[in-house]
Amino acid sequence: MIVCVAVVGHQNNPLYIQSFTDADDALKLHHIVHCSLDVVDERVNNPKKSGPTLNETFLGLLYPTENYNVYGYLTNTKVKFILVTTDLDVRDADVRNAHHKQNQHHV
Amino acid sequence: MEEYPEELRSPPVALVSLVGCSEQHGAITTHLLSQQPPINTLALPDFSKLTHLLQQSSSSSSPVGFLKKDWLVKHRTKIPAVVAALFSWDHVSGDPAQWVQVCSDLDDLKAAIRPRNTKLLLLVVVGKSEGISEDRLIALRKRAEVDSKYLLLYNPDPSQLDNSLQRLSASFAELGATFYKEEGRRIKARIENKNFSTRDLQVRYCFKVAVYAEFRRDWAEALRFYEDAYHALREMVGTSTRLPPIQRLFEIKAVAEQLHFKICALFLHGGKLNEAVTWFSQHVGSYKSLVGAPEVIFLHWEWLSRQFLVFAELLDSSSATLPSASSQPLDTADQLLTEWEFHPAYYYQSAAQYLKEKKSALELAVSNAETFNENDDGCAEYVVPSLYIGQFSRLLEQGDDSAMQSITDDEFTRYVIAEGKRFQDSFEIIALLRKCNELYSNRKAQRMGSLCAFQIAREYFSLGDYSNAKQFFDGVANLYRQEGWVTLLWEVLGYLRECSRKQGAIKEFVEFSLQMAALPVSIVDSIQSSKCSPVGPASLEQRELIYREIFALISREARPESFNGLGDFKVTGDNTLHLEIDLVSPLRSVLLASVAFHEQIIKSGVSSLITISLLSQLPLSIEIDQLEVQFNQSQCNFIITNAQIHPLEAVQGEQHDHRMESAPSLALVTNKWLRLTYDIKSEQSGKLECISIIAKMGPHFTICCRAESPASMDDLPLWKFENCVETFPTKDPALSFSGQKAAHVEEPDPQVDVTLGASGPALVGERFLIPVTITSRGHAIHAGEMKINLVDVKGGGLFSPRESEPLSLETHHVELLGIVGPELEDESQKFSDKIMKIQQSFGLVSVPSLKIGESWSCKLEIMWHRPKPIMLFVSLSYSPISYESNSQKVDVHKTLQIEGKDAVSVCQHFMLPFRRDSLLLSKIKLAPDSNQFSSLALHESTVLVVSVKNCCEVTLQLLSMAIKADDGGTERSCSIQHGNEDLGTAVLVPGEEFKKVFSVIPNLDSSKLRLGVVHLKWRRHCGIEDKSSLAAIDSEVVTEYKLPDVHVELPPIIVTLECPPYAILGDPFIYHVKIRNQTELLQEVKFSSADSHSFMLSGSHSDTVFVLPRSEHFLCYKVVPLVSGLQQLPRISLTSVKYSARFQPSIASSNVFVLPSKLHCKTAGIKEKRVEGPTVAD
Repeated sequence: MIVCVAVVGHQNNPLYIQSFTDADDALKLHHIVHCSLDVVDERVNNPKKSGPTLNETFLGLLYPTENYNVYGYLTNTKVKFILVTTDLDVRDADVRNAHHKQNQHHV
Repeated sequence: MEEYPEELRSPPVALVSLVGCSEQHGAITTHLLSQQPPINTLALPDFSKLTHLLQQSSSSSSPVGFLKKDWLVKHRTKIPAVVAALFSWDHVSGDPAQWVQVCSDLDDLKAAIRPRNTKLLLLVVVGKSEGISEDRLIALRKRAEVDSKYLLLYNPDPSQLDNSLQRLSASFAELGATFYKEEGRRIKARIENKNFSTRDLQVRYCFKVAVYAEFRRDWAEALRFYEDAYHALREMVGTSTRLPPIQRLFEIKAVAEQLHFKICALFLHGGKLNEAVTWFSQHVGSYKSLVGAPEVIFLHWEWLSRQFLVFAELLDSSSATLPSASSQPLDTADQLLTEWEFHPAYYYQSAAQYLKEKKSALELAVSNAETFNENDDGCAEYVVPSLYIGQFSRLLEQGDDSAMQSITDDEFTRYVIAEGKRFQDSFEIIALLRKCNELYSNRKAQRMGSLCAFQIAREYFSLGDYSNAKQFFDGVANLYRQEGWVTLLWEVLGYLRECSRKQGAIKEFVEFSLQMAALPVSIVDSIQSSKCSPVGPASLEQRELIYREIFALISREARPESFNGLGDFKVTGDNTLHLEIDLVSPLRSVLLASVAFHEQIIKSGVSSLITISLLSQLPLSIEIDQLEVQFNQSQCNFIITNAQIHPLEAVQGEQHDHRMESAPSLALVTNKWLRLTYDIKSEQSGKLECISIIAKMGPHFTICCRAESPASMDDLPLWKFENCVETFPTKDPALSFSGQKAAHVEEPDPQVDVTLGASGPALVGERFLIPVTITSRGHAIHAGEMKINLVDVKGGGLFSPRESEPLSLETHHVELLGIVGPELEDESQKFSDKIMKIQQSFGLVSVPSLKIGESWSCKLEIMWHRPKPIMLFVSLSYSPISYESNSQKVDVHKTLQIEGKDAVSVCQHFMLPFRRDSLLLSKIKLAPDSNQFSSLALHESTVLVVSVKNCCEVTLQLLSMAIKADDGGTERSCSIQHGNEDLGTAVLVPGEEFKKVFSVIPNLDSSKLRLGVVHLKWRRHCGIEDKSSLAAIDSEVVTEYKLPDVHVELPPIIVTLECPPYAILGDPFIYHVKIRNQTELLQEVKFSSADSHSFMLSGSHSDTVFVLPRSEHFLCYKVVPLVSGLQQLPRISLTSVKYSARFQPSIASSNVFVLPSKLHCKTAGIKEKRVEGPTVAD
C-alpha cells in the first residue's frame, strides 16, 4: 500500500506531499521523503553505483526503512517523485507504472 | 560487540599443553604462538597439575539450557587437544629409580587424558653430546603407547633448536587437528543418529560441531552447523516448555544472538558481504515479531537494537578489509538490496531507533511496576546469571555453600526492570546517533545526517540539556529552511522555542516564536498530529496562537491563562527587547523593509521623495507605534508616528532631534505592503543611503530591520514557493524593479567665476603671465584653494624630458615658475600664512576669504623651454559657508589651452673674402653633399653671417646680438670681430629677417672648432595699442643659438686675383693672379686661362710654374675690355700637381664692370686697394 506520495522541486523543496496514513506517522514520512533525497542525489552523482541505466528516470528502490520502502523517480526537469510503500516486496514494474502515471499527471 | 565475551568475538585457537621440563616451556610457547595458525599453550610444571585439570565434571542427566556459558572458554583455555610430556634424557636413561618415576608419570598421564581422548606427544630433551640409546626410546614409546612419529627428540642447543621446534609444531598441528576432527565427528554422529533426548541438545551439538570445525579452520563446516543450530533453535520458539514463557523467549533470543553473530562474522570473514546483509535482514525479520510479553517488551527492543548495533560494528570493522558495497552485485536471488544496506550508518541509526523504543517501553514498564509492586520484597537482589546462556536464577546461600534456584517470570520481570533502571539509555542513543551523523556526513548525505542531528537534539531535549539540544536543532533548522521543508522546520523551531523558554532566553523565545508565526503553513498541508512538536501541529490556528502569545507578552496586556510557562519573562522598562533583522535573517518574513528613492540623483538642498514599504507574513495584522528611518547622514533621519496612537500635535509638543512625521495608520496586514512616501532633503553631497527602519511596537519592543533596495531584494526564502498574491513594494511598478535604497546627492552649483585671461601664444624663453581672476557671484569663499596643473595636450602626462632627449638641459619643457600675487594687495602680508606650493607642473595656492561680490586675482608665471601646446587646468575648491573643516566643499574647474612658440629662428653661413681663395684640401676631397662642417682656412679671415628671423606673430624688438664662447677656449682658437653688440631699436615685424656679419679668423688648426654661442637679446615690441594687455613681464629675453662646429685647416696655396674695381672700354689694364705657397715645399702649379669674348688678353695662356716655399708667384696679364657692362674676366684655373687639386676662383670674384667711358673722377690707387673689411651682403 502506498502511504505517501511526494513531489520535490529541483531545489529539493517540497512541492506536494500527501500521506495516506494517520497523522502521527505523517511527520515521520516527511522525514523519510526528505532523507530519500540524499539517495537520489547519490544516484545522480554516482550513476555507476545505481543499478538501472543512466537514462532511466525510474530510480527504483531508494532505501528501505524499518517499515517502509521508498521509491524514486527523477524527471528531466529534476523534479523528483517519491513514493513510500508499506509492502516490502513490491514489483518494480508496478512502482514504475505508478510513477509514469504520476509524471503524466504532473505534466 | 564489546559486551560479547572475547571467546565469542574471535575465532577459536587450538590449545595444547606442555608438562615437565618447565625450563623448555618458554621457547616452545613463544614458537607455537608465532605459528600460522597460532597454537595456544598451557604450560604445566608437573604431571599432577594436569591430572587435576583434566578431571571431568559430573554431567547432569538432563540439560536445563542450550549452551553452557563457560563451555567455549573451557575449550579455549583449559581442555588441551594435545598434551606433550617432556622428559629429560637424563631421567629416561638414568638409574632405575628415575626410569620408574618416568613410567609412573606416564601412566598417570595416560589415565588422565584417556577420558577426554586427548592426544599425547612425547618429547625427550637431550643434551649436547649425549649418546642416544634407541632401546630406551622404544621402551618409552611402548610404555606411552604412541606412534613412533609422536616421540620427538628436543635439542635445546641453539644450533638444533629451530629444527626441534619445527618438528614439534608440525606434530602439534597434526595431532590437534586430529583431536578436533575426532571430537567433531563424535558429536556429529550423535546428530546424525538423532541420539539426543531433547531438541535443546540438537542445538548444543550443532554448536559444538561448529566450534570444533572452527578450531580446525574449516569455516564452511562451521558455518553450516551454526546455521543448523540457528534454525533448530528458531523452531523451538513455540515448542520448548522447559522454562516459563518470558524466560524461554529470552533464552532463545540470547542464544540466537550468539549464533547469528558467529554466522555473520564467518560470512564477513569470507568476504560474503551480500550474504551477511541478507542473513541479517532474515534474522531480524524472523525475530522481529517475537515481541514477547507486554511487560517486558523493552527487552525485545533492546535485543533488536543490539542486533543492529553489533551488525553495524561488524560491517564497520570489516569495511577496511572487504571490497566496497558498490562493487558488489546488489541483486540477490530473492531480495533486492540497496547500497544503503551495506552502510554501517543505516544500522547504527536503526540501533538508536530501537534503543529509543526500548527506553520508552522501559519507562512505561518501570512506572507500571512501581504502581503494582509497591511492596517489592527485594528478591531481585539475589538473582544472578545462571550457568547457561540467557538464563537467570536465584542464588541461595546456605553457610559456605551456595545453590542455584530457578525463578518465576514475575521475579525475572522484576529483576530485568530493576536492572534496566540502572542504565541511562539516552547517552547510548546520543552516542549511536553521533556516530551515525558522522558516517552520513562523511558520505555527504547531509539530510540523513540532519535527521540524526535532529534525533540527537531531541534526546538532549528530553534529558534537559537545552544548550546542546539547541546547537543541534539550529543546524537542522538551517537545512530545512534552506530547502523549504516547512513542516519539518515547524517542528524544529517548536523545539528551539521550548529550549529558549526553558533557558529563560526571552529574546530567542520571541525570535523563534515570530519565525514560527511567519512560516507559510496553511490549512491545506497542515498535519494534525500531536507528535508534531512541543508547540503543537503546524497549522494556521497554531500560528495565530503563537502570534497572540508573543504580542501579549510584549504588550502590557494581561497574559492569557493558556500561556503558562512564561511567568518568568518580563518585558519592562529595564528589560527592553530589541530584535535585529538583516538581509539573511530568518526573521525577514516577519518584517521586510524596502526603501526606494524616487530619484537616483538628487540636488543638495532640494527635496525629493522616498518610499518606505513594509511587509509582514505574520498571520494577523500588526499595529506599529512608531517607525524610525535611519540614514547614513544622520541629520536626514526622521520618525513616523502612528496618528491613531500618538496624535501629531502631542508629538510635536515634545522636543525631538529628528524630523517627525505622522501617518494615519501603521497597521501591517498579512502579505500586504504598507507603503509610506515622504520628502527627503540632504544638505550634504555624496551618497545618501537608508540604513535601517526601526519599528517600535509597545513600549519596550523594537525591531530594527535592515533596509533593502527593491531592485536587488531577494524573495522570502520560504514564501517564494507559496501560492500567494504577489504585490509590489511601491505603487509604481517600475520603481519596484529599479528602486534603490541609496541615492547620490550632487554638490551645489558653484557661484564663483574663475577667469583665465591669457591672450595669444606664449614665446619660448619668456616668463609668460596668465592672469587668473576669481569673482564671487553668489557664494562667499572660505578656505579656498586653487590647484594649477599643466598637462600635455597630446597626452602623456606631465612635462618630463623624453628618453629620446637625454641631453635636454631643462627638466621640464614647460615650467610653472610661480604665482604672482594680486596687484592691489601687499603680497608680503597676504601670502605669509597661506599655503603655496609650486612644483614644475603643479601648483597649489590658497585663496583668501572673499565676501559675495568681491574678487581676487593673481598671475601664473609659466615658462616654455620648448615650443608646444599645453593645457592649463585651474580648479578652485572652496566652502561657501564657513571655515568648518567638515563643511561641504564646492569645486570650480577651468581649462585653457596655450600654444608655446619659438619667437625667432637663427641661422648662419660663412663667406670667403672677396677675390681671395684658399686651396682647402678637405673641401676637395669630400663629396660635395657630405659637407658636415664648414671648412675654414687657418689664419685667414672668413665672413660669418648670422640671420635672425621673426617666426612668431608678435613684433619683436632686438636688443643685442653677440657671439660668446661657451667655454673658455674660443679666445685662443679663433678671434671673432664684429661691430657694436647693441642693435639699437631693431624692430622685427613677423616674418622679417635680420642679419649681422662677423669676421672669424681661426687661430688653431682643428678638425672641430667650436665657434661659440650666439646670444640674442630681444623683447616683445610693445606698441601703443599693446600696453593694456600685458601678456609677459616687460623684460629682456635671451635666446641662445649654438653655432655649428667648423673644420679649420691650413691652406697650402692661396690664390688672390688683383684687378681694378672697374675698367673702361678699350682702356687696357693689368690683371694679376697671385699664387702664394704657404708650405715649406716647392709647389708645382699648372694654370690655364679660358678665352673671353669680352676681353683681349696678353700673357701666358697655359703653363706650369714652380712656386718656392713661403713665397708668391705672380701671373700677369694685360687686358683690354671689348664690351661694356658687367663682364667676366678670362677665368684662370689652377691645378696643384702635388695635391692633384684643381681649383678655380669663383665666378663672382672674376667679374668686373666695364664702363663705356672714363669717369670724371680720380681713379688713382684703385689698383692698390683690397677688399678687407666686413660688408653687409644681402
